[in-house]
Amino acid sequence: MRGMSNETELGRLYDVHAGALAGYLLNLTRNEADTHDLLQEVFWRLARRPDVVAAARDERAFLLSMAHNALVDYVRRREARQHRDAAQVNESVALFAPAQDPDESAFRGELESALAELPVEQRAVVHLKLWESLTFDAIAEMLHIPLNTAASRYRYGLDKLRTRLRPLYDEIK
Amino acid sequence: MNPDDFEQHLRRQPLNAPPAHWRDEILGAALEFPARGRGLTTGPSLVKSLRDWLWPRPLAWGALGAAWIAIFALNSAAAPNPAELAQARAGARVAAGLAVLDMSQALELVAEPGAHTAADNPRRVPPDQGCIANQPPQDIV
Repeated sequence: MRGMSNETELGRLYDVHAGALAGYLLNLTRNEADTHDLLQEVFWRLARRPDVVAAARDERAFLLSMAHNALVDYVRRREARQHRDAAQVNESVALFAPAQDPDESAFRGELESALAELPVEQRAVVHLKLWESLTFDAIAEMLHIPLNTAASRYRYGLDKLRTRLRPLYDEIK
Repeated sequence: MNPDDFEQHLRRQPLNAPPAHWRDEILGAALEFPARGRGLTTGPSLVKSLRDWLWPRPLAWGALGAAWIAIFALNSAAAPNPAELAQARAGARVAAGLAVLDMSQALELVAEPGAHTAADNPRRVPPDQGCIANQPPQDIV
């Protein structure tokens, strides 16, 4: 994408992938303003280097990887400045779309809380596996961790979610 | 609870879409300043990056700085003044002269082996090994 087509291509990337990127970032930052800033950071980088996506094997995985790297920088900056505390990081956010069914709505609320209780490392893997359907290989590559680590983080995270959500899930299933 | 059912149920939970107004904000910002963003190492960004890098442990950096200052001060205080330096140089010159003298004496001895007689070397008496062997036997009272 070059010149005038840059805007069109950037718009297409946003329309196709921004939802997934925002969901991932929101799940990990638990902060809408930070999610907005990080998403902006990703698209700003894309505008600067429009050719990087074209070379990517999997567009979504590549953009998620960019978002993850931006997130890592953000965490580093945040820890450096110590501007935010844990309570702010785990603030309640509308991660899931609202549901008409009250039971389903309650389940989504509980799921959001249960996800917030997971360590960020497990939450990242659980999110990428469940809602992005990435393979453990892709997740391991994206997060720069061994394959077994990705798999075990997913297993531990899912076990915690299962334990936490079991009563509610048994009611609504 | 079947694990697969549970996982599938989780997968079916739809994520919220980002607010609609984000699109214009984000794309507008990305396209408006493609060369002046946060990632460039321009002056203020470089300063900010350095500050972010240095700031995490201000106490540690302060202590390190103080340690360097202390080392520098001690080093300066321990340095010899010009008078001491001149004295040390003079001492070194004397030592060098003595060394040359010793060397020349040694060379003279090698050159005149006859001059070095036995008289020059007094016979070395071995240390007393004990007088018991040389003493006459004594009566034991």
